[in-house]
Amino acid sequence: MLISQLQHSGLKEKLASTSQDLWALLPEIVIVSTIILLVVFDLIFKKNKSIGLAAIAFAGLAYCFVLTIQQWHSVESSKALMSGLLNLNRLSIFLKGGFIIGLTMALITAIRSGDLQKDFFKSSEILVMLFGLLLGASFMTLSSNLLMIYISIEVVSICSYILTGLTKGRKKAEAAMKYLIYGAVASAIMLYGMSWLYGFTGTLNLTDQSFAIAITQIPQLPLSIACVMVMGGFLFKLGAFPLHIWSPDVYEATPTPIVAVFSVLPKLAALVIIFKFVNLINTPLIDWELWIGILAIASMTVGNFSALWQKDIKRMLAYSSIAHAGFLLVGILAFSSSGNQAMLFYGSVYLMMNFGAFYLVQILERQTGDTSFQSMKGLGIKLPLIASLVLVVMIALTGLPPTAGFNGKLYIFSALWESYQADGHDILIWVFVFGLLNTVVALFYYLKLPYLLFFKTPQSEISLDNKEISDALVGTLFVLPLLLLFFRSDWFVGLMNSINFELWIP
Amino acid sequence: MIDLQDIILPKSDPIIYWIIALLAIPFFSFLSTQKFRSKAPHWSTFLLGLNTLIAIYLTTRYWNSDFITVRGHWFKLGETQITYSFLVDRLTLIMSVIVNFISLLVHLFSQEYMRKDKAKPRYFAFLGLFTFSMMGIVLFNDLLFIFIFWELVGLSSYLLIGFWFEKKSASLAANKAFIMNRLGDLGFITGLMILYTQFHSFDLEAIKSLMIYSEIEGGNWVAQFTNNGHEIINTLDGRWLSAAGIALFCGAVGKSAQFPLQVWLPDAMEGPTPVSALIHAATMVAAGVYMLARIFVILDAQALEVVAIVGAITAFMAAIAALSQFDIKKVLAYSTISQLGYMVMAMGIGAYTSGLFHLVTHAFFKAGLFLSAGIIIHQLHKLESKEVMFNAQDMRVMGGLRKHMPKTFFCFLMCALALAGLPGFSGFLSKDAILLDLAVWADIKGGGFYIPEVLAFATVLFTGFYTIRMILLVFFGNFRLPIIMQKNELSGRLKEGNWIMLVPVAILALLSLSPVFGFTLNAEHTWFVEAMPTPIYLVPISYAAKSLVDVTPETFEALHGLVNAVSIGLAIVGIVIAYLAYKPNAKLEQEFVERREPRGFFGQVSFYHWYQDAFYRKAILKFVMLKAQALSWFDKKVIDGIIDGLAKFNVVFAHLIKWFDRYFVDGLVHLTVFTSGRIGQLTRSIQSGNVQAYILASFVFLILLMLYLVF
Repeated sequence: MLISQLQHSGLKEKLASTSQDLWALLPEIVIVSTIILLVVFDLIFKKNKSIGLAAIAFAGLAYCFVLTIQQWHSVESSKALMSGLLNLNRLSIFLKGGFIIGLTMALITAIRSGDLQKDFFKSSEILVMLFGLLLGASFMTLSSNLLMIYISIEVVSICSYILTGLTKGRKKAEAAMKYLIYGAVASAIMLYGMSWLYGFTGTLNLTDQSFAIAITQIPQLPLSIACVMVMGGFLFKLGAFPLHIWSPDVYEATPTPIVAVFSVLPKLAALVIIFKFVNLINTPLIDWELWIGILAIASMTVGNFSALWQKDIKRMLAYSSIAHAGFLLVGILAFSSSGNQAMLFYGSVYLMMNFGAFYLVQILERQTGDTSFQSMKGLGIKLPLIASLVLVVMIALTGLPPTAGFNGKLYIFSALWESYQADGHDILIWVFVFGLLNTVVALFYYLKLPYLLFFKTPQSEISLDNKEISDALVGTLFVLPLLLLFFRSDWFVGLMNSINFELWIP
Repeated sequence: MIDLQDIILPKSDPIIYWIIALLAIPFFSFLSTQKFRSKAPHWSTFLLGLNTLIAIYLTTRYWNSDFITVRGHWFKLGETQITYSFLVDRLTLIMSVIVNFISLLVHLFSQEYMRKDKAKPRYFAFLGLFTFSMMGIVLFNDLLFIFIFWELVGLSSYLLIGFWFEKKSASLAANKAFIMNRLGDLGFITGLMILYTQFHSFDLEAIKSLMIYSEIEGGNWVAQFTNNGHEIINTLDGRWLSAAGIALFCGAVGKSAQFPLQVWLPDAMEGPTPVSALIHAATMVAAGVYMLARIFVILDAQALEVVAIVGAITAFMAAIAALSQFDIKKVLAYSTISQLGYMVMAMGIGAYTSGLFHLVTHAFFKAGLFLSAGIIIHQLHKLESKEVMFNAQDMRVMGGLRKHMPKTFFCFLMCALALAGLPGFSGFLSKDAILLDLAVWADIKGGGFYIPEVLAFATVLFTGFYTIRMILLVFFGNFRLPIIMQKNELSGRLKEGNWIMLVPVAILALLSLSPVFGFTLNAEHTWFVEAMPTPIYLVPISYAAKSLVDVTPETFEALHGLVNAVSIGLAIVGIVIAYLAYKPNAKLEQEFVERREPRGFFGQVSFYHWYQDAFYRKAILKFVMLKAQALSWFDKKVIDGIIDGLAKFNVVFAHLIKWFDRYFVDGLVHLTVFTSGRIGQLTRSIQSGNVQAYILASFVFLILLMLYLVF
């Protein structure tokens, strides 16, 4: 497609428009520059690099965030960049802002993680990989071209593999290797599916007119096979059934701040890609509502029920993230503007909940040395502030008032109910029922941690460091939005209302 | 038409800083005194001295200027603007000087009087609170705020009467004072409500201005004004106008100890004597009279008649009661009630100036009397020991003190002669002014209105009698205590009080002389009367009383000589009788020492104050107690029974619920947990740790899904 377009218009004009579009990619350019700066700084200085590295990282994030806000104000509707490789709209900008905040929270978690802090800031590797992951995730939200989607997913994946295995330990190496093999297979299958689609339509650009026309011409079976294969790759990044199996092992082995990033950034980016893919392959031959519905039900059920039996908090949170992937899919399922908004709201709340949860887990881990439920017994008496924050976050994850988690679930299920009222598809009511039942099941394992913290007596004496107040202060900063957004969810909803979910470029 | 909002526009004046200082300094004394512990008396005396200087400075500076109003908006309820306002006129100035000055003297006096008391800081803190509250009443010109400070004054009075709360009688007396005052305040609130209903404001200036424009139409009292441009016409039955005045007067009845609520004041003598001097003689009890002066112009003829008659009855009853008391402070207490009766009566007959004049003179000489009595009591207390126990306030243990404490005697005598109303002393001027106005008033009214005149003149006679009786019993004859105790050495140990106590008393004694108010025997020529003319009534003309201002000076001139002669004559007659009856070794003096209580019907009625207390106990208290018992029975049997029954039902019901909960609800939960657990074990069983198995499982599921969807 690129070549054919180049034949129509002159190369010179093409280059001119491309270099103009570079301005729209300023946030990404800043990320890349930060990566280069980190590497250069690492090479120049030999000792005591941690403060400098942290400063560069935070400065890069802050600058990038400012640019993102500027972009939010300058972009009203969807805009094609780089000859249709990328598609810039407020949805992607919003998520980019969220990713930056998320990465900042992850770095703060790392700073407060005690021993782990050295690994993070000793040299630039982890930071570079985290920024690479951020770059890939931003491009995932921007991409509207199958090739671009593949490349950005691979950027995220490769960074993830390295991050899993970067810190020392046999378990980590094993997890990284499993992750790599599993991911390679998933990518291969996705790429194969993409090649089928290219073969059918002759274009890689999902927003292209010719793609939309060609897609209706294909018989059902080949189209379904192609879509299933492509979706396989997406579901791998989303961590949803049936490609969720890698996540518990990886989550358990990886350092907590990185898990926090894994559980949010790729997930939300993949969600946007699935959202685009599903909406752009618009043909009556594929019953997307049924597809997504089944995936959502299966993810929720598998995630929640498996979480019941876990003995490790991080594994439990891994399964919880599988279940939340199911809930996020429900937002796509509604196929309505209120559904899209609910999806984005849920996604944002999910971001805050997960970073809050992993932060608190990190604090507890620092005190006890590991993340098993056993070692958490009775800590609530010694760390009342942290334990109270844990309770709030867990209530939010369950989806109960007075937290924004409740609003997220409420919006997503009311959008679903509206859609059911409108088109009466049976799968929607099943999703509805399963979603509500799963919320009940979720209560069992989410409240297990606060229960152990408050109501059990500790098994052995644990020596605590006296940093609870500052830990709790940061924790409050992370957790407060969850309470605030419950009471003033209209602030967020107003922001969502200004997002145009239309994918076609006029 | 007049607009309420225009009347109550905020007004400011630099004097507000002085007003704030006048209020803040005593309040600061209240707050800070406790911190100073042993230095507390000096500290609070210093603060009061400062406040007195401010009051005197303000008086000299603003005496000749026009009155000044300061007003601000407090808060707004709907259309109603609640304001706070201060008024500084000559009455305010003179009252603030008196309150602060006497308070200062009492502070000074208390340094010695309370030297041995451990709770000194608390005592001086309460004195500060009292002065603060009293200054609030004096300075505010807003009925709501006057009421607030009125209550604060009641509170500080309660605290000070019950200062020695370990004594059962003291705490009972404090309760009695508080409850009796509440009864009066009930009336005060009623009055506030009536005026607020009619005028939508508590601001006295607003009430007065709107009162001028209100009219009586066909028996109805109509107030017509605008509020924020809305026209308002309030119509009440004309009797509410009288009712408002009488209701407000009820407040004064409580605070100024008028019939029928006066019974608390004699009991209030349980407090420390300086407190009695400050609060229960000179200032607080005068607050009722001061309040009457503030609302004087909005009282109608009927209300004024009630005021006059109540005042006359009180003056007479209390004078009788004072005739036969044994306790020196009781005599003084009854005499205070009697003199307050004079002041209230003066307000009632329209003798505004004379009433206030008497308030001022009385404040000085009565405070002097109480403080002198305080010296005597204090010095007698020093004689007490384990073997020698006696009541230091009982006149039966005194006698002949003239030789032991001549300076005290001299001061006491001067103040007492002022009380008796002899020429040359301040009491003569003010009492004479009241009696002259009373005579003119009775002449105008005629008929039954001569009765107050008769009562008032009779009171003059009795006042002379009990004053001299007291002096004779306390200062003349032999010192009876050593005789009773049969310990002669006691006589030699009784000494004069020291200068800390004598100086305040001497100052007050000097202020009891008539030249302080002018070198004249005619009240009209004193600077006080000339400075404070009687205002005219503002109530609708058909309800207004005939003002004494409208009476020609000739009428006064005609009666002046006669009234003077009669009052001096009666006082002297009283004095002579007292002398004959109670001179050393006279018959009554002998009997007096031996008896537990006076004999004969007249003696009994006097000693037990017309049996008023007994009547209240028998008639009202009994009824109240019966009602309380009935209510208590109802509460115990009926209400508690219902609640108990409800509780029993609840317990039974709870057992039912518990059973249901255990077998049905818990069963359901266990079932859910069991099922969830089974499913969970199934779903996580994929997690074998073998990555090949993972991939296989994933894609088997994916293919199965596709097959399901396609076929």
